[in-house]
Amino acid sequence: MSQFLLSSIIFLPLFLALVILVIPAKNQALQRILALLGTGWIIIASVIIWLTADTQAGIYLYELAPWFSLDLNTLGTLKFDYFILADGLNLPLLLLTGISLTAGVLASWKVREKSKAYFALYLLLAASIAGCFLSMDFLLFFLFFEFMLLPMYFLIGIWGGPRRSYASIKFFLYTLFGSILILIVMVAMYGNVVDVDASAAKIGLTESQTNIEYVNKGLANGDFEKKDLVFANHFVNLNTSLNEQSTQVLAGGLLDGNVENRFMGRPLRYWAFLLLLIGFLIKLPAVPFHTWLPDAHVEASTPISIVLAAILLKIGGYGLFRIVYPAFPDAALHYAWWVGLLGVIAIIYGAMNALAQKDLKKLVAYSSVSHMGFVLLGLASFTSEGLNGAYYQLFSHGLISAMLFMVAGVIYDRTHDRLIENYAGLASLMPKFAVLASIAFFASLGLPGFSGFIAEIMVLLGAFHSNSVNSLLPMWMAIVAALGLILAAAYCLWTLQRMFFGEVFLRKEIWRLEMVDLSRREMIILVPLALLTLVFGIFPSLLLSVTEGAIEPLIKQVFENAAMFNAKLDGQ
Amino acid sequence: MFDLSILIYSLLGLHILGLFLFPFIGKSKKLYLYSSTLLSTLSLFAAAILFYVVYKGDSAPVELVKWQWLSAGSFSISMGIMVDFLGASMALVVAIVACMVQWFSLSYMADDPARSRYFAFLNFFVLAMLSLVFSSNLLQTFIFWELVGFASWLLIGFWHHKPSAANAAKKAFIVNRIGDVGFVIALMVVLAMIGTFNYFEIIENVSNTRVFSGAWLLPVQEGPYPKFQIVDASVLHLAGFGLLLAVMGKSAQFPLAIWLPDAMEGPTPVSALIHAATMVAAGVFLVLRYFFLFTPEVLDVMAVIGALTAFMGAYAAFSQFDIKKILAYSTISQLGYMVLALGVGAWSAGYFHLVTHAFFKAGLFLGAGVIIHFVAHNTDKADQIDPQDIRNMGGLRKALPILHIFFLLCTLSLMGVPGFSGFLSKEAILTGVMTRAGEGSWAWMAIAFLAFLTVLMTVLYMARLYSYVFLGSEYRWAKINHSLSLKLGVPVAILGLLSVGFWFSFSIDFSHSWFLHRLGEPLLLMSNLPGNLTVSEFTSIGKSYHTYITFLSIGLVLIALIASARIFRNPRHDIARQSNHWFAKLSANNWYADMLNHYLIVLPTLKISQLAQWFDAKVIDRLVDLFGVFVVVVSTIGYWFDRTFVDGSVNFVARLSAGIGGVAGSSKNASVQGYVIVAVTLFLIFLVWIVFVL
Repeated sequence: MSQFLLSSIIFLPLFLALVILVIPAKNQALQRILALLGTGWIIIASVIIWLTADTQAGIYLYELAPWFSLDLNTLGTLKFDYFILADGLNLPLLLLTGISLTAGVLASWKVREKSKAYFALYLLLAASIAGCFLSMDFLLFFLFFEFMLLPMYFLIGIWGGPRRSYASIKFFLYTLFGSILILIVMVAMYGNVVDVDASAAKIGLTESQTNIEYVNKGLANGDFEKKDLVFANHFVNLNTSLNEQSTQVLAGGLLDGNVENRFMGRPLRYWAFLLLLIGFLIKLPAVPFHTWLPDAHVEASTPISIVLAAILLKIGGYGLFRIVYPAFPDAALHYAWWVGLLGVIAIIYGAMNALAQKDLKKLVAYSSVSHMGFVLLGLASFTSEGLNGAYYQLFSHGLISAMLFMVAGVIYDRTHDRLIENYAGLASLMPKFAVLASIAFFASLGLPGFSGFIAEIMVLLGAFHSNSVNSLLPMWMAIVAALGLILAAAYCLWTLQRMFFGEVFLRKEIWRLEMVDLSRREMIILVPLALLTLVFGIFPSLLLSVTEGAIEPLIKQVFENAAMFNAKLDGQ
Repeated sequence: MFDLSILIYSLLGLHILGLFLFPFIGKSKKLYLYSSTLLSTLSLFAAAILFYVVYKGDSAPVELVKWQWLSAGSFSISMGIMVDFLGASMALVVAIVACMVQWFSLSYMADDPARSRYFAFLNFFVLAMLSLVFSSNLLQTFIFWELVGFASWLLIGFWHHKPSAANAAKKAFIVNRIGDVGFVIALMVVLAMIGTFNYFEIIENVSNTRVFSGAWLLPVQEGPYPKFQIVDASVLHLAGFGLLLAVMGKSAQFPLAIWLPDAMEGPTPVSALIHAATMVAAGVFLVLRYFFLFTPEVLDVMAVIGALTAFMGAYAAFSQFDIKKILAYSTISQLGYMVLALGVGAWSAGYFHLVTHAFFKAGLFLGAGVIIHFVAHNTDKADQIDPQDIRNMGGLRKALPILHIFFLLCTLSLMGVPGFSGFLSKEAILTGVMTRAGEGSWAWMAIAFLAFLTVLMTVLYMARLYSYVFLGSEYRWAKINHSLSLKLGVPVAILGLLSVGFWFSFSIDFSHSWFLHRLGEPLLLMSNLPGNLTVSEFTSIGKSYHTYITFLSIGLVLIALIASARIFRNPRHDIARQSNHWFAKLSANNWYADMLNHYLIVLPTLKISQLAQWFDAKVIDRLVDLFGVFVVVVSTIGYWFDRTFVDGSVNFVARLSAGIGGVAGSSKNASVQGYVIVAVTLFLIFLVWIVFVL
């Protein structure tokens, strides 16, 4: 059964999308249930993998099948595979995908307008997000990565708010722009990263280990012609340690850090890193590439906001972990200071902006920007606690932002108005809702006991520690970033106080009839999310025991590989 | 030997049970309230046994339990429970006050519809506070540090429909967050430099380090030839200042004290428990526990802040008319004393005052609760008077005779009248301050002056409170036969009796106090800490000052008592009533701290955030839009080029061929065949041109 478990995560939602297309439009209940089935399966499958996984092993489960290859004659052979895999780096995010998409389906329960198209697109989105996390072949990844934009564009553009066309086109073009940067690097990598195993096979060598060394040596000496080589780009190979190197950057190629391959004085590798970095920073989003996010959130409907914040943004962070840092470790260390600075700026600037917002959803959107800054800061620190904390933040923010957008959605559902100043004292009208909103906001400001605390404290500790461990980040960065905690408390508690406490006030008296407490469906969305943030806040080992196995080797290899590339650079 | 961990588990477990009963039996209020109170009484017994066992036992701190909480690569955090005399006595203080407050609240909150929730919050607070006390790990301490702050947010804003309460809760949490950032900075330094958060490991690692002419030497290699990593000593100061900032937030020190007066919006028993006795003392407790991390530079700043806070709080208490506000400013002032004591190195005196203050201030707050309750229930609702305003009281000596006695005991203790616990601890602090001042410069004398001045002021503002509330004509209450209910009376009585000095020292003087002797001396690890005062030093070094300090402070108390007897006999002499007098205005507005905070901190922050928002919308997003417009313009130009030149040339060819066709068609021998021939010929020419020319 486990043979096609991974594929089922991608293809079951896809299949169900097709089923929804053929069932009658009137049968809306069935559409909803199928959508729930598709997204629920992602949860079930990832829990199965999680429970059966041997966390000591690097890779839990994988499926590898040849997809197609292009023989470019003198340019060598390009090999593309259908390669999907679950390990400590994507499994938590896969689970998060399932959780947030399921929450999204439940939040879409009342979509009646063109519901057939809606749920079909929604499942398409689910499949492409899951595919994006699972793929290990760069082309396959890119395919899913790009494909995600299409359903998202329509989901914002058709079921969104008044300025939905502007927001959706902005979202589409902006992220497409980032994709193009990634595409450039992908093309460059496909011509320059040699799959040593496959090349050895092509040359006619069969015994594996010695031949890998032979090919590696030959590559280093430039013994082989390009036409003998096979180029492939599996992420998992970027990440293997040096002694069993099965991926090799083509000597003298574009991505070899030698003197000729420079542009404006910097090795092309550095430029490739920067392009990839910006590509994923747009997705994350990091300041100054973030302005698509508030617009997209404000115009998107509640479920789409949940999906957008909880999981789409995480692909940006995941890309950094999975692709950017393993592929260009030397550049990553070289630019760590700048990445850390971007993180600090995002934390403070995002929080400042959140403080100024009048629209609840925009406030949450800017708080996302601020929280994603912690991911960058943690990544830049290259310490155990920093990287694990950054990853924890990805996961934790997924849960918390889903809750916060649901809170905004609950209010919007009732009144079609999201201005903070139009409400006060909601706690007296909707006590259950006030409790859950308070939990969401306190989780967001990083109260101990909630998952956000673990993430943020680990990132801050790691960022400060970096100075004495690897001298990448100065001490002031962590200290300035810590100020973000005050701002987070300010915007969260101020919002809570203004909207939920004090005397009851509603801008329009007629709203009072609408402001009934949470329905059972809304409870079913919010309560499990609240419990999950608590569980992951109290038992951090649940998640860390999984991610540690992927992140620790990553840190080690980044330093080792960076040393190798830097030695090459110095040798010239 | 009694197993201590079982005691601590049961202590915590009782409150966990109290918390978890809420969702199940919270609906039946009477059952939940009484079971919660019963549980807290049991926990008081557990705390008392724990205290006794520790008191009799070995003095060294022990870690009872330790388990790994999280680990990620080289980073791992353990949680643990430690106990020593400091922790056990603090737990007893917390348990006593918590138990009294719960009994008191049974009656005090009897009419509140949400009283089950209130008791659940109380349980949560006590649980977090006890966990903080027993924590053996700095990060763990921080976690519970934030959670007690959260409990404080819950309870200040308990009446969430009151805008002022909601506002006060928010303010308390945010101001505390400023301090918490200091705590986080300290955590960062401790992890990066000392490498662990565990109390015992920190001690071990710090004792291997040396501070040496502006440098901090950290051992990186042990053995006969130890190697050191040299770090600027400012990093060590950073940790100390970070913790100090945390203390200033939690223990309401200048300039972060602004949240405490507002916190009085919460129910009065909460003010007694959280904002007088326990949570606000957590900051002091943190310094006591991690005293060895504070460098002399940090301690000096701490002393200055403590002295300023003691003075400023006492001054602000002068012109308040809200009984709870007077007590709140008094709390700030007394917390200032504790911090001052720690700053001058009088470690044990600081803790002693924490304990004595916890009892008499909790007693005062609960007493104030009774008074407020009484006034609110015995005045005409139509009068719409503020039941917390001391001008509406007066003459309660006769109306509440039993309460009067115990309230007076607490008051005298706070004033520092000989024979009361407050006298003992205050003398200890003053001796410490004078010892430091005696060897130091004029600046230390100024601090000592502030400390003595505060003695005087404390007596004055408490005498003012007492005269307003208890003295004067009682005709208003004459008809009312008010008997104090046991649930309200007994807790105040117990706390009042605990304010007597007898419990802490059998002599009138602190130097024979069993408590101070058992407390012992602070742990010092770095050689260059200032002359920390221990009990033995109080009696030896401090001896030269001791006698005249005692006489001086008794003299000050007497003078102040006599003065206040003259002043407050006639309330018209109260300077606070002359609302235009600068003295009264400055005091009533608490040095305009709220205004300064509003104009210097809050408004600029909001302005900056609006600026950031403007920048985001008008600059960054505009650039994105401009880029979009640029692309559209370029493509429009491209389109125009396409239409005009590319398509134009096609059209040109078309027109040309039409012209040619026209010419051809106009010939007289026109026929279809002729057209075909022309077309084919032209096509052939075109092919030849393509194949051979291109």
